[in-house]
Amino acid sequence: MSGAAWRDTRATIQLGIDAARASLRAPWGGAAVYEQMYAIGNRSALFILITQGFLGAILNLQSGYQALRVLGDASMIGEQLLPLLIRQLGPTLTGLMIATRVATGIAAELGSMKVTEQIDALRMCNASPVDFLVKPRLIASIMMVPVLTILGILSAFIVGAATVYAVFGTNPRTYATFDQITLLDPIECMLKALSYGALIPIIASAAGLAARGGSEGVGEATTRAVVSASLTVILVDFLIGGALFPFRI
Amino acid sequence: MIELRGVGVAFNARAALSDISFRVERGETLGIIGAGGAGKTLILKLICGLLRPSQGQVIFDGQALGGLDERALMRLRGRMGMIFQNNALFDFMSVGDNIAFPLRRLGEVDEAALQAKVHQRLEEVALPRAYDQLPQALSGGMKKRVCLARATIHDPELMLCDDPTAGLDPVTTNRIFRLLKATQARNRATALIVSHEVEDLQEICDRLLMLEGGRMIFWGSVAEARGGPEGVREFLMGRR
Repeated sequence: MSGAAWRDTRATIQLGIDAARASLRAPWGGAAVYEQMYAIGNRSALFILITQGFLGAILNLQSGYQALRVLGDASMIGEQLLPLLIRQLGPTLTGLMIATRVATGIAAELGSMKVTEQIDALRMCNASPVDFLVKPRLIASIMMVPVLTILGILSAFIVGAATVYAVFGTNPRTYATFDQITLLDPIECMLKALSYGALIPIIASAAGLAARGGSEGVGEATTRAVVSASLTVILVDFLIGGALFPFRI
Repeated sequence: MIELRGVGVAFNARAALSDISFRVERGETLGIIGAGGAGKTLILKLICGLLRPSQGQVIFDGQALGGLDERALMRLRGRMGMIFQNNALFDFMSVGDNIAFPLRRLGEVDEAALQAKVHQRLEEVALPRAYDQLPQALSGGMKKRVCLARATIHDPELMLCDDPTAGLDPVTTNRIFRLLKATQARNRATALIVSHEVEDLQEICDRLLMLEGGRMIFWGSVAEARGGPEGVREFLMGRR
């Protein structure tokens, strides 16, 4: 890891610690948190519903063709895919979508504030950027990403069931077989969603607050935010999945 | 009030400021001049603790800033006001909320008193009807006046002005300097003004500090500067 990358990583970790500490301290900034919940949650909902819906359709379609080819029967798609959707594809693809939509927004907003000296102005006005800007985004994201994940899974499930019914004639009741789902699946799903909810705003805020120069610096910060957030989502997915794996066998 | 002792700043092992030492007493006005990139803004940021020196000490009212954490620095900044080169108005807040912000952050809870003060300050900067406007809707001169109102709403002891007239026409420039001087006189505040308007600075400042390539090449009264080294005299006459 290069010197600059290591410095960025350390700054992100430090911001995470500061923001976590700040989030445990009152006041919790009600209005600012609601505003961010709206920005992160409501404004992402349609995007998540559509992307996860299409994903559900594609996944079921491809799996159905394979099942027909190999087994000659597509009736077990739901039973096989639902656990995967809940513990893996639902939270992680929602995390990646949030990384693209929300992380870019946060990094661009904070980056613009940094290069126009608004962050310095906040500090001059006795307002900590962590308390005032990062904390509401962190709290809102931790609350909204699990909600978006559930919405995404429902969308993929409903569209998937409709696709399987339309293409392979599988009854939705047959599709909705939950026998393969264990308690670990929703636990893994929520662990991942909460982790992404906590990490994405921190990574994006750190990138924004480190922006330098003018609009070019904001652009670089935004790119860095989306790349780092996406990589982190994949890494955390692997780590949580790996950590829970021994409990599955 | 303010003292810098052998202060230096380096970025990536490259010196941006070296061996800066001066002292400004309460109520004095110091003009900081020099070509672009000489380190003028860095001095203002060092004094309010937005930037930490790589060497030397910054002392505000007898207290060295070096040993203070961010929370202590924030308390200290409550006694300062800063006008930023790019105004740095919060673009997600109305003009009124921008001006009220420092008072709210400093714990002013009487909303009626706060509103009265904001409206009074808007009158003083000749923007009585701008309260509900967003900063984006204002002209450059209007933004500067809002920035001045925000920087002084809490009657700071120290005013840090980073190129407060950058990009403004001569009439607005004159108006900003008069407002600055009036605000300073009312609070008996100390002011540090970075500006390229050397004629105006000579009128309103008690002392001048000139920087070149991050080094201090002159420190003294305006009269001393006028009769000072050739480089300083030429700069004051706009020939350098």
